[in-house]
Amino acid sequence: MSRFWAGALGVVLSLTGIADAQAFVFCGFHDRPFLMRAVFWNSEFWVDMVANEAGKWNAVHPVVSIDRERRSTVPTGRDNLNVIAWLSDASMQSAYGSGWGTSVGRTIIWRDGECGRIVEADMIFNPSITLFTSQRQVPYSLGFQEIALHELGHALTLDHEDTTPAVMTAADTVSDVLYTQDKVGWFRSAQFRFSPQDKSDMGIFPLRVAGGAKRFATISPSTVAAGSTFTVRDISVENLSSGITFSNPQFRAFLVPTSGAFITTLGTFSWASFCAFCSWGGDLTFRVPAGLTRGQYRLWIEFSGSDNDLSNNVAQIGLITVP
Amino acid sequence: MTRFFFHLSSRFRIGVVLLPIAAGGAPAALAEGTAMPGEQSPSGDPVAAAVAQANPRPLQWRPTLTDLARSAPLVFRGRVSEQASERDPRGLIITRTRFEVDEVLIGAPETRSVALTTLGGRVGSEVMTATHVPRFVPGPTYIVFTEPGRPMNATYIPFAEPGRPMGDENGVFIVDAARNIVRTATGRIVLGVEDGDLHLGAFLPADGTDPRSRAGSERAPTVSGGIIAAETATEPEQQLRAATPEEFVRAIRALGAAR
Repeated sequence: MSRFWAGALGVVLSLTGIADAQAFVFCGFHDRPFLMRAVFWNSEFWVDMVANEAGKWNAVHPVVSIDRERRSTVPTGRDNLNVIAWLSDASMQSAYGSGWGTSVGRTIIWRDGECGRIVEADMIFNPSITLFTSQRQVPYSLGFQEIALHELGHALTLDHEDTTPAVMTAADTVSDVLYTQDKVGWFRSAQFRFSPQDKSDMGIFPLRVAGGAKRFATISPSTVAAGSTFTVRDISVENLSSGITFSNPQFRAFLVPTSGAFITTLGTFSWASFCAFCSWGGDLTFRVPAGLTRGQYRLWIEFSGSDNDLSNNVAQIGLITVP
Repeated sequence: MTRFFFHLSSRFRIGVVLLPIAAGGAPAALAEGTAMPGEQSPSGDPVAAAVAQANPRPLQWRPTLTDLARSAPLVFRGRVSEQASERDPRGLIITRTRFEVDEVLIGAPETRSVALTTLGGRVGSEVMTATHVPRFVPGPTYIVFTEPGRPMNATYIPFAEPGRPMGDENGVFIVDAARNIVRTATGRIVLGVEDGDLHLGAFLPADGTDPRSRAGSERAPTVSGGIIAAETATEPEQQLRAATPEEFVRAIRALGAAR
């Protein structure tokens, strides 16, 4: 179906003055350790993954912990127990009056007052999600880790964020890493009752949000002769610290043959300084070295410095073929 | 220029979670008080997990507007006329909301009133929220993709039926009469409908202000070596116009007529 009326007469968005708004939202706060308990599982494997994802939030500020107590049924009401469970569609219907549809996770949160202290959070996962490979190649598929990281963000007060790349997205897939809005959002939320320590962290991501949608990085042309140029579109670089300006962050782009183990550095890009809680999104144009052997290569970009989170220091951008 | 790949691998190990293949699969538990003996988990088989692993398919988190229009028996424009929250027998807080219907966009045109029950609400000082479930408040005009006639003891989440697109907050839109625009339930401006789906713009809360913290933007980096140019992306939606409520309604009607 073709375009209906995009671009038709209407209100000019610039009246809002926030067309480039980038934001996180949190509601409520934690003021004490928050213990969540897995109560039903077939394999420790899935619970371990939830605990692993909790560690990513805890690296920003440690509040949530995961333990396990095997039960045959899942308590679903307000009972001071922060449940983690996998419910079938029929059980979701029974427990909450509706099934999963295409949804993959849901967190039920009780607060003491509107945006008050979170007193309980029950986290329910859709057991039909079986993909558990960490997604490192765009376009991403939706894996369990990403869902767990997202739902844990809700339990830690965060709401959805779709104007920038964020694991708290309500749509599309972004892989199971924390982005600037996620980290700074949780950091600022934690500041409400704790004294979290800001940590330096630069990240490179093979996607960007534009026009309200995720755009995964692309390479054009994907077949490029040695000595010629190609352009990478829609990558993001973020300073994931709330308040630390990063001095001289440098990133290196390199090629790795798909059937080999040697890498070829293409070049670097850098800033004299990168402001705190800032991002850059855009395109890079490369020239393939004249003497590069023909073949297929993966293009990677990695952060060359040191910071406190290695999980976002390298991004696989895509494939090029040198004929 | 050329180095052995081993240098790289130490960095990669951080980002790659090496998980045991011998996973048992996620369970499908019974909720408290329910009795469904013999129920099987769709992912309880480690072989199934391995298959999914080998053939990952992108999953859609959000239904398109076409999905919603095709699935919703009723799409209406209306306002909240009554609303009350209560604690239900399951210990959950639910909110019953009655809408006075101004206009039916898809479905029975004689519909004058619609009652929906949603997860979440406030009882005393206790507030319960369920992620992805819309919250309705008196005052604004809503456009709701819905299904009438669900039992009142069922918690209503639009289209949460097996095999149907999930509506949830995706099936709720708010008419901002003052600005003559439409926002999603999550506060995004609807720019238009393109290829049967929403084209969304900036975040704009109901009161017109954005209380949220904003990240800054850096200029393009300095490049060297074989990187010959860096260009900062521009945001195309800044030049676009938002849809009017009437345009949005026409688009929904057209999608409904085509189903």
